[in-house]
Amino acid sequence: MSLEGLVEILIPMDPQERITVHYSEPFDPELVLKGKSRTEAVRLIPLLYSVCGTAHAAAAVRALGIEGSVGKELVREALVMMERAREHVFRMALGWPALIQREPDQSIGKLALPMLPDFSKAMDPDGAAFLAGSDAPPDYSKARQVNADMRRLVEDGIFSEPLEAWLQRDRASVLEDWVEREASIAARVIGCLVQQNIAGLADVPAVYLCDTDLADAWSGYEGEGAQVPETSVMERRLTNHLLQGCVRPALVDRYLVRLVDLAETIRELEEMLKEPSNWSIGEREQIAGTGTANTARGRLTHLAKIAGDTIDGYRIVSPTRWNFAENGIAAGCLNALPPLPAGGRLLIANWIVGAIDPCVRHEIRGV
Amino acid sequence: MCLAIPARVTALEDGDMAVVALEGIKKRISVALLEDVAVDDFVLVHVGYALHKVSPEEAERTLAMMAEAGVLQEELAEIAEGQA
Repeated sequence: MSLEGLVEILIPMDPQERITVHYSEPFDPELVLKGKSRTEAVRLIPLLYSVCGTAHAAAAVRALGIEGSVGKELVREALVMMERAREHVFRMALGWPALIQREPDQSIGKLALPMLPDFSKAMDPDGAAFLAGSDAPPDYSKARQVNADMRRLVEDGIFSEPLEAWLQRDRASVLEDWVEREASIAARVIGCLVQQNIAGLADVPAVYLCDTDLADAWSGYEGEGAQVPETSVMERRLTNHLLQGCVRPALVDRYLVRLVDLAETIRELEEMLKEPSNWSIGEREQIAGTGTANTARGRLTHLAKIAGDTIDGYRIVSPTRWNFAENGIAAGCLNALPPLPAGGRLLIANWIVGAIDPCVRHEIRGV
Repeated sequence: MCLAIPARVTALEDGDMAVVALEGIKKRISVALLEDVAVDDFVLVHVGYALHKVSPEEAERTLAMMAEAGVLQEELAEIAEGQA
């Protein structure tokens, strides 16, 4: 067993044969958390998942019922949003270039790296955002400054124009004018999909987790042949005009939606920080023992079972668990490809996997 | 799931690359995003990049927690070796 987890995608040489997806779960957190108190668990979880520790901590406090004031909930939500924006930037600057045989843009990665810790220091000066009780007030002015730095970084390095200008473009303008200028890696990636005539591939009907009852979704997961719902930023951005409703999102939509989510997350964070006192928690699905957080890859779910004062059971369901299930969206997209020689399927499989983006290591192999 | 397993840097290479020991396997990663990474530092690796340096104490604490759960004996042995 690998502690890190692994997604294996096996592509048969025979184009008529089905491509299979196998996801091995990473380390089981219950092994560490069982028998611990809720407070201990909230301290330990960010240590286990420190790369995306904010989203895990946010999901954990909700699963463990560690309520916070509205002000504290705002801090938690803002931290999750900044982590999500930074993760998008990492993927676009460091991961996407390989799809078009370019070197990663490490200068963007280097600038993005300190933004989450800087933002955390401003929003959560005493590091108590995910613990019970009161804490030091956020420095909103500093937090706004970090978010403004993030905006500048993505406008210069990812969109090569102001976010509003990009978001106001229509689909044709993005897919023609914006990509033709080739002003950034992101534009070149979308342009490459268009030029290679693969932008419209892998357009399978989508079933989203947000439209599915969690218990039904889970039984679908375990039922043979049933389609496992997907969770991704598409769920939150379906109404964006660039995505055309996306009943059958194609390969290009899965890349576009990342850009939409990055731009909108930064703008939403600006709004939130402009008048923090106007912010409200809003409607949130409340199921005892269940907590969620919206990450760059989709909805992260924590499930906790408490017995007395201690944890009796703990499960983490990552977006990868849904999306790279045997009958998940990745398998659906891969098997919707037209019959191509194995080499062609391998090439496009890279694009599909890059678009859905597992949070663990993956291997794509011809067999 | 972006598990934060501290990886010990065993060698530095040209071009901001390094070799780390993780789960008993040597891996080549980039250290381009961090300043002043040295052999024997512990780093957290994500998408092939070292994203954070962690103190030996923090690394030991995390690895001990995982070991308590019955995994990662090899990493603990390496830490003990490094401290000897």
